[in-house]
Amino acid sequence: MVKKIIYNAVIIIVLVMIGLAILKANKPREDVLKTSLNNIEEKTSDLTPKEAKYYRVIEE
Amino acid sequence: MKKVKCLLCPRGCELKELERGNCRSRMNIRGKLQTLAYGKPCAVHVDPIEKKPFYHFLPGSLSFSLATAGCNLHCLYCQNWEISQSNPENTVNMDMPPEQAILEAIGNKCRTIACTYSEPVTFFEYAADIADIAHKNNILNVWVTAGYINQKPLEEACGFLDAVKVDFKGITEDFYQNVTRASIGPVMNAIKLIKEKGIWLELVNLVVPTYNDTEKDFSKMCDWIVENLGPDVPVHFSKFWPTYQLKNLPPTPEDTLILARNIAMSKGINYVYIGNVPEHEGNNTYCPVCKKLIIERLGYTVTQNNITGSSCKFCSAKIPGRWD
Repeated sequence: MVKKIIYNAVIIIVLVMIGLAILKANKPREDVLKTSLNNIEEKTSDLTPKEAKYYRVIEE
Repeated sequence: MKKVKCLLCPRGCELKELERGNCRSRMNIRGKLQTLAYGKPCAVHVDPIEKKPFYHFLPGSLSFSLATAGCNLHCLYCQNWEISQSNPENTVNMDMPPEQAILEAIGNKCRTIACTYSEPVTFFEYAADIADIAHKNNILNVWVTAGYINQKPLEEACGFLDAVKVDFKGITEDFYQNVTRASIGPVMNAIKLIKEKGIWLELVNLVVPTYNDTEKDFSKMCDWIVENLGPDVPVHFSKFWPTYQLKNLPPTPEDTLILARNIAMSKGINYVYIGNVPEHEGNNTYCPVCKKLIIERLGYTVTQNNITGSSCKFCSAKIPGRWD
């Protein structure tokens, strides 16, 4: 009985360790995320919108 | 918050605050419609004018060609879909105000500035400002467009354009709806208006297998051209290459292009060309009177030019176009 409990506990610990390792491997690095967001901001701010010629305002 | 209605093209997009038009390049920002890509071209090249293609407009000259991101059509076979179907903030853009574009054109010995690759209608304000400065510097302005534009802005554009190549994509409403997500009526009106205004006009029909490649299609299109524009507007039937969302189709067989050219000539169109087939004789210009070869082309290169002034050097027949 004790032998069976120890065996199950070892299996569970191994599975939890594998799971944690997978989660860790797939977690985005903070600096990567930051860089990519910075790129988007830079691109957007790069544009210099100008008022268009042909349009009309619709009052709501 | 104020809504705005764009009056530039027949789509007439009605946009709430921070909504973007169908063309991706216009947005309602604080109750004003803003063009997003002004002065920010994402494609800039020096091309032979034959690449546009213009075959009757300054042959052998260079054209400073640029585009910004966005288009008001959504053709399934777009060759430049990476920029035409992108938002301006998602392309790699250059900082090129109109004055800089002119300086680049002069520096590269270009006689024209071409708004091309995507759709000049969607960067109307930028193109207009470029054109104004270009004329002051003896540079001519050309557009390569699908012609999906409202009458009022087109009338303004005709005031600053010297030549227009319209992609006349098909001759049925079904084709325009299904393949380009646009409508044929406004395109026909635009083509007629450009011709009426005396702007040099050439037409290109990209022949897409199974979509617009029947004898009936070619006949109907040529009849319309002769009836509405006369016989002297050059017509280019171009070979389709599988791309974007029509990769499943084969390239246009050469025989189909030859059939289209023969039908057009039998209908009385004087200058009919075959495009994207570099060594075909359909790239050359023949005098409609004496039938002699007057301009020979190999790819985009003019290898022989027998036009003197604006006439055939063999029989003195006047050849329409701008040759000086």
